[in-house]
Amino acid sequence: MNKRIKVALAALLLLPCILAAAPRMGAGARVDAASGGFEFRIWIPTQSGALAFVAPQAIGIYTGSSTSNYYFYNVGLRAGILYRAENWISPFWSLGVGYGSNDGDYNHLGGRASVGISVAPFKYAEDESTWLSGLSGLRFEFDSGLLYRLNNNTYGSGTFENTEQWIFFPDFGAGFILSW
Amino acid sequence: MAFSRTAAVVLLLCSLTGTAFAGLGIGGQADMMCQGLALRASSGNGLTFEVVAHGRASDTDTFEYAAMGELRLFKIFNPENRVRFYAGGGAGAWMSRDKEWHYEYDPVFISYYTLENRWGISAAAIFGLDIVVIEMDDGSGITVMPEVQVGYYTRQYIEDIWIGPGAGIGFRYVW
Repeated sequence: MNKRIKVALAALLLLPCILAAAPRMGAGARVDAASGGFEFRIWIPTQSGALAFVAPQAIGIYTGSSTSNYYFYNVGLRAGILYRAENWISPFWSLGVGYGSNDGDYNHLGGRASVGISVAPFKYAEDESTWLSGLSGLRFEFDSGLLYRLNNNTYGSGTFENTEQWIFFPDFGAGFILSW
Repeated sequence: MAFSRTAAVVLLLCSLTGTAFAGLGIGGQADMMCQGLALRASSGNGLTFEVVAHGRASDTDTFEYAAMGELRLFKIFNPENRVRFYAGGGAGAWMSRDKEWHYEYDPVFISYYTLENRWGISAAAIFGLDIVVIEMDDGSGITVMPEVQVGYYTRQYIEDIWIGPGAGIGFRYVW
């Protein structure tokens, strides 16, 4: 069996274990220079009270006609820890990787390590019985850190002719997540 | 042996960060010495040390980069208040390597670039307000830091020297 298929199967088998260990999940969207897209998040409580998270993300489009087509996509994975989750402003750190392609001509592979703050503006309504309590799990996240990104340009010849590496510190990322 | 010595220094720094400093913070800082991500460590009596850094690099055939950093040491005089006065000093440095394009028209138009390595240093006295705009029950929160400076500056890219007043602003999430 192909090694990649084995890894994919192992990851698939691990998924129910991760989901079972995650009493809370969330969905949202985010963007940074390594990755971006719609995000699904699995929260895993730790013994110290902090919340670890694993968050796969993806976005893509395809348009086609009889003469041409166009696509882009991005997939990524982040993991990190949110501290002081009981507050409406909480710090977190995360590590992330992302890969994307713009019509096959421009591809990138990025990784970043970041710290940030997570703001839950409706946290105060958590114990209330109003409609706002449904938004108590909404968090807006802003982070900054070290970016490493590898860009490949094909310039239409079908080969990766030009490779360029970027390093930025600090960079910027932002997103939102609604947890339930 | 070298590794164990390095490990001991790292452990010492970690323990100092965790115990000797009553407060830690992260945020952003922009002043005439440096602009970038800031890390803060404060003692219980308001003595505060901060590192600010910013950089970029790309591995084109010319390897262009720019990096700047700043160290700040100041004392917050009334840390129990929401509006706190601080005074101290800072020093910064920057280095860059970038293309500089040249154009000539005699006898025909040509353009070419040279790689320019530049650097500069700055040092200043700092006076500012650390204003706690949001505070949680557990003492964590967000502060905004407008400040004035007086010092010697070498401005990035143009290498001009400026001796005189300066200014800066920052924000920190502190815990």
